[in-house]
Amino acid sequence: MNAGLDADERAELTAGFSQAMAREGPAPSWLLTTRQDALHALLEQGWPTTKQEDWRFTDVSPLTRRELLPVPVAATLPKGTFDESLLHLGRGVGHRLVFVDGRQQAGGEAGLPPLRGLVMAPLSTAIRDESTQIGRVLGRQLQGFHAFAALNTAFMTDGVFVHIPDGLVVEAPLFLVYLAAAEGSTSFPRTVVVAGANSQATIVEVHLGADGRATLSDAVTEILLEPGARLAYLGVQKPSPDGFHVGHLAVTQQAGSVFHAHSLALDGRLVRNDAHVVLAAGDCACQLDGIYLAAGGSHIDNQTSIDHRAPRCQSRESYRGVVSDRGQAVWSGRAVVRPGAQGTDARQSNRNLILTDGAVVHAKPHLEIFANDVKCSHGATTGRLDPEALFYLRTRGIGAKDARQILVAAFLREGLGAVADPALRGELEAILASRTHALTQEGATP
Amino acid sequence: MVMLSIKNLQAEAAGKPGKPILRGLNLEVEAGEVCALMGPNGSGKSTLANVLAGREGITVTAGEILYQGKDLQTLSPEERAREGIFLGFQYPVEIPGVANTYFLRAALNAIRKHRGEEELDPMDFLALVKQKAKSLGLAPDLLGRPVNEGFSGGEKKRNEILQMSVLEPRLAVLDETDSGLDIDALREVAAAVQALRDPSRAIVVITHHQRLLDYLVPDRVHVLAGGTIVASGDKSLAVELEEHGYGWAGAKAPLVEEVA
Repeated sequence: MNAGLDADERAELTAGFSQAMAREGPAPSWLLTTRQDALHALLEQGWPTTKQEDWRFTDVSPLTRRELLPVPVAATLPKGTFDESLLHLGRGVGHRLVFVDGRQQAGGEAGLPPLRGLVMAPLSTAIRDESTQIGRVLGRQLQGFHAFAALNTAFMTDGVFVHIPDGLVVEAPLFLVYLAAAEGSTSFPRTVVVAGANSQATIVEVHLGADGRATLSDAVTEILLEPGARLAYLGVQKPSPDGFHVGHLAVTQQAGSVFHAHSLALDGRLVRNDAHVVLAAGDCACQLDGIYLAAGGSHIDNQTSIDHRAPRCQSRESYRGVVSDRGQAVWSGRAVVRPGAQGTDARQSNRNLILTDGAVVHAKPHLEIFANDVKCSHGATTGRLDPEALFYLRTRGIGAKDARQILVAAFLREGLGAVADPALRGELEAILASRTHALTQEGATP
Repeated sequence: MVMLSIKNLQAEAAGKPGKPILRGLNLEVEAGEVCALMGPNGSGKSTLANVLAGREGITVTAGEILYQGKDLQTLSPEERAREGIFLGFQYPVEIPGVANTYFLRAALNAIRKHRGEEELDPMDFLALVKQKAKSLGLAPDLLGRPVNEGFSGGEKKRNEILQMSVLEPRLAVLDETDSGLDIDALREVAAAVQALRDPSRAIVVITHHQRLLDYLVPDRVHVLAGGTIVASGDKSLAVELEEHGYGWAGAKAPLVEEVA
């Protein structure tokens, strides 16, 4: 059931691992064990193939053919090679940590808000500080997850550890910016978040690839919400049209916690996002939203699951995307209701807008229900712009291209409705509007 | 001045050749005129309205449409609108996610740009549209809501007239704007259209019933049946139609020769 790593690949990964560990220097033993376990899991299962259900529509061979081991880069940030609006997202609004090709960028840090006990530190520091107790989260949620999550775990170089202490309310969003800059670079950003009991915060994680560079970011984000925590999480992925992003979001929610994630995936030769949430205790609320825009030759694959393991939890999932040119989008939404998860209320929806012939969408909503007192619904739609709406706009003097732009922008803007922070939502609306403009004005014919 | 001149217009639904809906229709509408276009279901009234607005899916197979002396058929729907043609939809379209005011401002500015006028800034526009909405009895909150989404039938029709009053067309074609309105709404909508009567503007009102015409008294009434105008007259024709039905009008009027 796997691509079957050949002896050369195994040897290369094993040797690469030894070299990487030597570069990393001394580390706590629990971490080395975690890395070794991940490497073994990877060697065991090999790369996913399109014969596996979760990978049916996404061929990873363009990824596995390239250099997969971390490239040591001492990068200074090249100017003018990133999408400016995303690069500056939230600048001046919240605390930021910036990484280039997996290493923290000196001077990229803005002052942490002076809130007692709030930790937002480079992972490389946090793992050597026993007081962070990061070992109780890092790598704990990834049992059975796919090869790229294991690859990240084995080779991660740096990232961010965030700990919001119990009861603390952090008003300003916290920004984690991961830049992939050097041609051919591979980086393994790792983010670990612990949202303490009854705390509140917003975290924004941005992955950007330099224009025209074939970079790969293989990211893993692990989030633990302790009882009563409320966390909003925005994940943005924009590799260059030649670049790759593989992301894995693993979330565990404890009793009464509220989690809202919003994903925004733009461009990329291949973007694959896995988002898996476990509702481990009762009375949680979870909302997974996402927007994707696959134009040109982009391939964007979102795989999500919400695992209801406890009673009276509510989950909502709403993804929508615009697909154009030779773009391909894959969406799979899976909700599992375990025995005993009575009173579950789960809904999911996926809407796709296809702008041109040749664009392809694969949508798969699915529910697996093993409890009897539940409310569950799902639906997926894929369609073209409404010709009646286009005609209506045009009869009022609005040109055909502008009419298309207005309708596409409206479709996407509706998908941002749940982003609570008004400043952030405004910035994202502007980013989507400018992308929509490029798609409808310069892009394909009606 | 002749606003609209239609000669021997023949049209069919695209993909249904040989089944003409309009069969040699002739119609002239003067600037300053309100004319009523009446007729039974399937007579071609809405098809005519859609041909004038430039809807795809209807093929004009013969004839000529001159608008202010220009050939209309070479123009796209948006070019027609910018030149001053307005279609009030029988079924106004809901557009989720697009605020009514945003839509209307985009439309007005597209038209102003075409006329070589400056775009209206958002504050001036809002003041204008609020005042127009008020005079139409349209609740202010409908302005900020998505276009026609969740509007009642009456609100949708009023919203059409609001657009007309903001865009100030030269030729307005109102396709069954009275359908779905209760008597109070009908009176208000008629009054709003009445207020838009202007010597430089022509208004074509398509309706099944004479009721609207009690409040919006037409200069001319034309009866459409089988794809042609079968009778024309003044407002008294509408009254007679109400009494005797369309069969009477069809029998009374001289048959228009069908053009092969």
